[in-house]
Amino acid sequence: MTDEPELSGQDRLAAEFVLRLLDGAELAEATRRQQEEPAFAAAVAEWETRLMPLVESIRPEVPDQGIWERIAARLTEAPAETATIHILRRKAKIWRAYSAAVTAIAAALALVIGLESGTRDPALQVPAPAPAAPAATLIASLAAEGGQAAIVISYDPDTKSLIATPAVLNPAAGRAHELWVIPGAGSPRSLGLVAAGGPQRITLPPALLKALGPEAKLAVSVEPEGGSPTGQPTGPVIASGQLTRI
Amino acid sequence: MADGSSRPEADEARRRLADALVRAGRGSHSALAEVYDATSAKLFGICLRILGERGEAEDALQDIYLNVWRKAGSFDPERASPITWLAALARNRSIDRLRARGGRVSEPVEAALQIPDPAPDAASSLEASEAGSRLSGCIGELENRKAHAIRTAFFEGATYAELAVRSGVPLGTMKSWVRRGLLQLKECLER
Repeated sequence: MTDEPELSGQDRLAAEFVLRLLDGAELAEATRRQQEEPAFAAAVAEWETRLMPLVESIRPEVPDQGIWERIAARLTEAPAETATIHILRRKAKIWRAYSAAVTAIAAALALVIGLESGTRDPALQVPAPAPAAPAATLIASLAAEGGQAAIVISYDPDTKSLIATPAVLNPAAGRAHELWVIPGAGSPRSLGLVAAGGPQRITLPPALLKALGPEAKLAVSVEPEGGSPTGQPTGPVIASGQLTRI
Repeated sequence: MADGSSRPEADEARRRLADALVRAGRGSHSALAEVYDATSAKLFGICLRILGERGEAEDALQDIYLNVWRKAGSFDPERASPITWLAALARNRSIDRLRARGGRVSEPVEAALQIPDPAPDAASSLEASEAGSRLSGCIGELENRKAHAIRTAFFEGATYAELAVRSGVPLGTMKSWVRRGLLQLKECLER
């Protein structure tokens, strides 16, 4: 019994990915491999072909009439949205190059002046380095399914911003981790990308601040570099949690 | 193999759906409408099964067809069956939504032990394809606990960690059951 063979290697990971048995860092890794490794993508497609016929046992249910109208109304948005994202990405590239140079100079200066050189990964948007832990009244530990803390979020009421500290999750090359707030009712709203490395500050516009009610959930999804192209999570959710008062 | 049906009308429906998906991928709104008409009841059923709540499933369905619209360009009819491609997308998006919300309402342990096996219902199995019947047959050959774990993962989006908690076994044990079950399933399907 204990000697029974198990599915192994790439085939195992592909099957587990198709079933969505994975979470956290393993799910992020499988997502990356599916997008970048043709052999792994093929193994995933084979397992989809093997397992998806299970949906035949799910009873079809006709959705309400209005749903298609709502979809159709949003189809026109899509191409425009994509175009904007391309421009933003170009800007982000320019910003990254600039910010890398500035960081290099700053680091050099810090060494010269003898300050502690707190260099950070200059990639991704413009998060200002967070100061030493402010007195936060709200904190969320976003856990991957296994319960391991993936990222810790604290709310700083003085500056009305969030401090995000990734614990174990570092995005793979070409991928980014995006933080979302899911209000009690309504769609997820992006809080921006979570860079690898040290703590970062995410300043909240007033509209998003309101979304951070007691019902709100926070989640991290895997997205293409530069963030979700659609304004909604497009990749798997690898961690989620809720703000609690401390 | 894909849908594996030998009925000519099923092959024709599949070919038409694949064709509509390809045209949607080139930006045709009416082609996406065709895809929606042919598949929305099935995909809505999947959303409802996983999310368990109608409003949430409706939001998911919109999100799914907007995703179909964006991703249809990457659909390759030579490599994937259109309904497999769509069902996988619908299931994945529903599970992501479930996890973003922090999972389904957790059930007490006693209730978890009594969860009936999500076996196919008789009425809908009438439309089963050859591939579907073979898969059901092969899952039926598995030891109960392995079959139950695989079905629960598929229909409820449960992770290894959740499956282990629900069955009251260590995580490593659950992983072994599932991995053995998956290997046996693969071998059975290849016979």
